[in-house]
Amino acid sequence: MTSMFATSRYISPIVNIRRERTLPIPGKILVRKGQSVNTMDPIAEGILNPKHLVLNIAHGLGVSVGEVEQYLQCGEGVHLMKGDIIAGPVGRSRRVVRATESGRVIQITTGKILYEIETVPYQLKAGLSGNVVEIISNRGAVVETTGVLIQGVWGNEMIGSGNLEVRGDTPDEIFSAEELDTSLRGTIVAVGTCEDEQVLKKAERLPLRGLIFASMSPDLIPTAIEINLPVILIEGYENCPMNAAAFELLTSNNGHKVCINAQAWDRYKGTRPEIVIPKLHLEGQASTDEIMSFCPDQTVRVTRAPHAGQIGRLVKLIGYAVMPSGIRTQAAEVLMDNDLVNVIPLANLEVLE
Amino acid sequence: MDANSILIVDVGEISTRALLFDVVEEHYRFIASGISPSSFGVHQYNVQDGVRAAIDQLVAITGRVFFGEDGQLILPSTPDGVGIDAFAVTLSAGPPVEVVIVGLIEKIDIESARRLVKTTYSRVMDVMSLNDRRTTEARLDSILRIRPDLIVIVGGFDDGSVSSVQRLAEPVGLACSLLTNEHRLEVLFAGNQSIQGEIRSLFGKNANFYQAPNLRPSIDVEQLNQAQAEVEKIFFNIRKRQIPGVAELASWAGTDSISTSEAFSSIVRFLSLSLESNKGVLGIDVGASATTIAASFCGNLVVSVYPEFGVGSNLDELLTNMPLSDLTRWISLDIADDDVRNYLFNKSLYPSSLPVEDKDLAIEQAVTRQVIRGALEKTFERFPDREFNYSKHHLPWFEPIIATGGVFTQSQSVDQTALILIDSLQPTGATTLVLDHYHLLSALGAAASINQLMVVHVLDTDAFMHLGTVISPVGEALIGTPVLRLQMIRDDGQDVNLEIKYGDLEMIPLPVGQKASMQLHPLHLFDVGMGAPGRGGALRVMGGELGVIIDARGRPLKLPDDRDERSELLTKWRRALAR
Repeated sequence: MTSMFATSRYISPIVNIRRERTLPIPGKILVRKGQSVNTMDPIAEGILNPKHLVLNIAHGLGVSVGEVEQYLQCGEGVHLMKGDIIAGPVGRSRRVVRATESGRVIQITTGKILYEIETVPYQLKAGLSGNVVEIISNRGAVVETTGVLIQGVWGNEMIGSGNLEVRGDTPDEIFSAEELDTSLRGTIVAVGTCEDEQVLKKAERLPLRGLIFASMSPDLIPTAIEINLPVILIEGYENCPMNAAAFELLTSNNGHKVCINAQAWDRYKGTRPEIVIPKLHLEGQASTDEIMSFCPDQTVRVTRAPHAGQIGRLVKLIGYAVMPSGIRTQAAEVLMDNDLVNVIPLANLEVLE
Repeated sequence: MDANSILIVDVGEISTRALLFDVVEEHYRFIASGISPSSFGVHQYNVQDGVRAAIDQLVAITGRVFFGEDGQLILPSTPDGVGIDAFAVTLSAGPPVEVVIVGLIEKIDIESARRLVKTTYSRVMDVMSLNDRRTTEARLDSILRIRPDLIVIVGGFDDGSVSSVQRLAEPVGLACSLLTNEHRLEVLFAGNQSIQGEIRSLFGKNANFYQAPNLRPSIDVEQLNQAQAEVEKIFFNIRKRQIPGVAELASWAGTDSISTSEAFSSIVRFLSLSLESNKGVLGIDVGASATTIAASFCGNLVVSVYPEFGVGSNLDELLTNMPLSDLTRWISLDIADDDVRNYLFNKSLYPSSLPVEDKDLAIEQAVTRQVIRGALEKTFERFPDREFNYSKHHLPWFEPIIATGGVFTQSQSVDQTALILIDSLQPTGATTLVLDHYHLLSALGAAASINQLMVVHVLDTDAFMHLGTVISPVGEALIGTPVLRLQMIRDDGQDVNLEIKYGDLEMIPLPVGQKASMQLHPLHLFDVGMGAPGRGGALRVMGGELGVIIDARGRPLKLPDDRDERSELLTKWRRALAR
C-alpha cells in the first residue's frame, strides 16, 4: 500500500512565517524591502473597481471626428481636475468640453475620450506584523515574521490586530452578547462558540478589533460578512469546541498582540484564514508547505463526527477498514486525549504542524 | 498505429485517478487504477504530485514502470513493456470558469450562450443584452470589476443585425485594451458570421480571441457543437493558468487533454450511436466540483454541468438553490434540520471527509438524491420536446442509465446506490441501471480519440456494474390498485408470476450472468414503454446485482408530508431492495 497525502494545517507555538501579499491587479507598492510593517499597514494600492466615462468630444464640440485632435488640450495619461478643459474652445461661442470629475485620460480614439474617474484606491494591508523581505513588482510584497500560527477554516475576508482576550475557561463555551462589555473595546476576543447574531452586532458597536470563534452557526454567516471587523472560525460550524492545541496556544498568549487575516480558505490558491501572534525575538523553523503523507506519531485532528475537533496521535496506519456506516476506506488508529484508541478514516484527519 | 497501452489520468477536486488499459489475449481490457488525493493549493503543491502518487499506486498494483530515470513518462512503451503507448488527461478540478455573456436577445442568442457555457464547469457572472439599460461605461466597469475568465459574444442571425452586436461588443473591446497581459481575457465570438472580421479586429492583440459558427444562425436553428469545442480549448487554457502543474500535465498528453464533463458526455453520445436504440442514453456524474447530466438521443447530445450541484466545497451553496425540506424529506432517521444544515456547511470545509456514522451517511445519501434531482429538473428543459412522453417532469425513456461518482463507489451497499438512483431519476418504462464503479466512463471518453476499438472492447467487458433492470409503469391509480401483471421465466427454467400494485417497490432476483424473458401486462392504461398506455409485451432482461426492480410508486414520486409516515415509507422502500 502506498502512502496517502495528508491535508495539514498549522497550529504551531513558534514558526517562521512568510506570506506573499499581492493585489489582484497591477498597482503601486507602498513599502520598501527591509521595512518593518504592522498588520494594518498598507503595502500596495490599486484601483479594484474603476469607474469610467466615455466622452464624445466631437459631439461635445460640434466638430467632425477628424477635427477633434486639433482641439484637444490633453493627451493620454494626463490627470485632470474637475472643471479642467479637455478640448476646445471652438467657434465664436468658444465651446469647450470639461472634465466633470477629477480623473485621468486613458484613451483617445475616433473623436472620443475614455476617462477614468478618480476613485479611492484599494489598499492592500500587510495582514501580519513583520518585515518586508521581498518586493513583488507592481503587485505587493512578501512579509516575514516569527510567532504563533493558528490556521482556521473560515474567515470573513477582513484583517485586524489588537490585544488578545480569551473568554471562557473551557474551549466549548457558548458566548453571549451580555459577556461583551466596554472593557473589551479594541481587543480581539477568542471564545468557544457563537450562536447569537447579537454577539456579532455588539462586537461591531463596541467596537472590538476582531473575533476568533471555535465555531459558529452557519445562519450567522451573512452578518459575519457584513460587520466591519475580522471574524475567524477555527473548527467549523455548529457547536464544535475549539481543539485543545489552539485553545492552549490562545490562553497562554492572553493579552498579547495578535494579528488576524480572515482571508478565505482557498484550496487552489493555498490561502487559509490565519491568526499570528508575533514573537520576533524567538527563532522558529520555517513553515515548509511541503506535501505530506500520513505516518505514525503525527499529531492529527479529526475533522468530522464522531470525535470532530479532537486531537490525537496517529498510532498506526491500518490499511482499509469498514466504518459503522458501511463505508470502506483507508484508516488509522489514533490515540485520543482520553487515552482511547479510535479507528478513523484518513480522509477525516488533518495533520497539525 | 493504434496505441496498445493507454494511461488516462483524471484530476478531480478531491481525487486523482490513474487508469490503465492494455491488451490482454487480443482484447483491450481495463487493467487497474490507482487513486490519490488531488494536490493543489499550497505553494509547492502541484497537481502532478497527486498524479504521480496515483500512478505510483498503479505501479504498486501492476508492477509496471511508467516513468524513466529523468522523471518523465516513457512514451511510447519500449519493447520490454516499460512505459505506455498513449497518455490522456481529463480534468474537473478548479473553481467554476467565470463567464460574461454579451448578446442581443435573452430568449434567443443569450439563452443559447447560457447552454453553451453550461457544457463546462462555469458560472455566468453578468449578461449584457439589448435590454440592458446600463451605459457603455457601466458595462465596461462591470467587466473590469469581475475580470471574468471568459467573455462569450453572440447575437445576430447570419443575415441579420450587425450594428447592435458591434455596439454591444464595444465595451468588451475597451475592457480588453485596458487590462494588462496578466489579465488577458479569453473572448469567444459565436454570433453573426458576417462581422467576424470586425469583431476580431476590435480585440487585436488585447485578448485571446476564438471564433465559432453562429450559435443561432436563424431563429429556429441552434448549433452548439463547434462552439463547444472552442469552449473546451478555452477551459483547458484557463486551467493551465489557474492550477500549477496542469500545463505540464497537458504537455504530456498533447491534444488529449479534455474536461471530465466533455469526456463523459462524449462516451454517452458514443453509446447512444452504437446501441442503435430508439431510446436515449442517460449519464449522471455526481462529482465534488459539479454534477453533470449527459443525455443523448440517437447521437444528439444534451449536456449540462452544474457546479451548484457539486458535492464538494460548494455544498454550502446548495441551500441557495433548494429549500432544506427538499433534502430532509429523503431522511428516514430522526435528524434535526439544524444538524442537516450544519452538516452541509461542515462538509463544504472538508469535502473529502467520509461519513462514519449512519446519521451522516443518511444525510449524504439525501444530498446525492437531491443534487441529481435538481440537476435533472434543470436539464429537462433542454431535452427535445418529442422525447417527453407525459410531461416535462417525467424522465423520457432511456436505455441504459449510467451513473458514476465517488458518492456511489465508496462502498455503500449496492442496493442503497440503486435506490438513490431510482428515487432521484425516477425512470419510466423499462431501463437498465449501470454503475461505473471504477470511474471508467470519462477515461474512455478521453481514450476514444486515441483508440476507438479499445473503447468498444472495454464497454463490452464486465468492468461496469449492472445494478439491475428497472420497470416503472406510468399512470394514475389509488394506492393498492393492481397496475401490472408480469411473468418472468429465467433461462434456467424458473419462473415468477407477480401482480404489482400501485405504490409497490419490488425486487425479483436475477443474478449477474443469467437472463430471463418477461411478459408485461399493464392494467388501467398504465404505460411500460411498449408503444402506448396499457400496451404490454415481451422483454428480454439480463441479470444484475439486484435483478429486476419493479417500481410502481408513481411518477413523479410523492412522499407523505407527515414525518413519521414518510420515515416509515422510506424504511420500507430501503428494505424492499435490501439483499
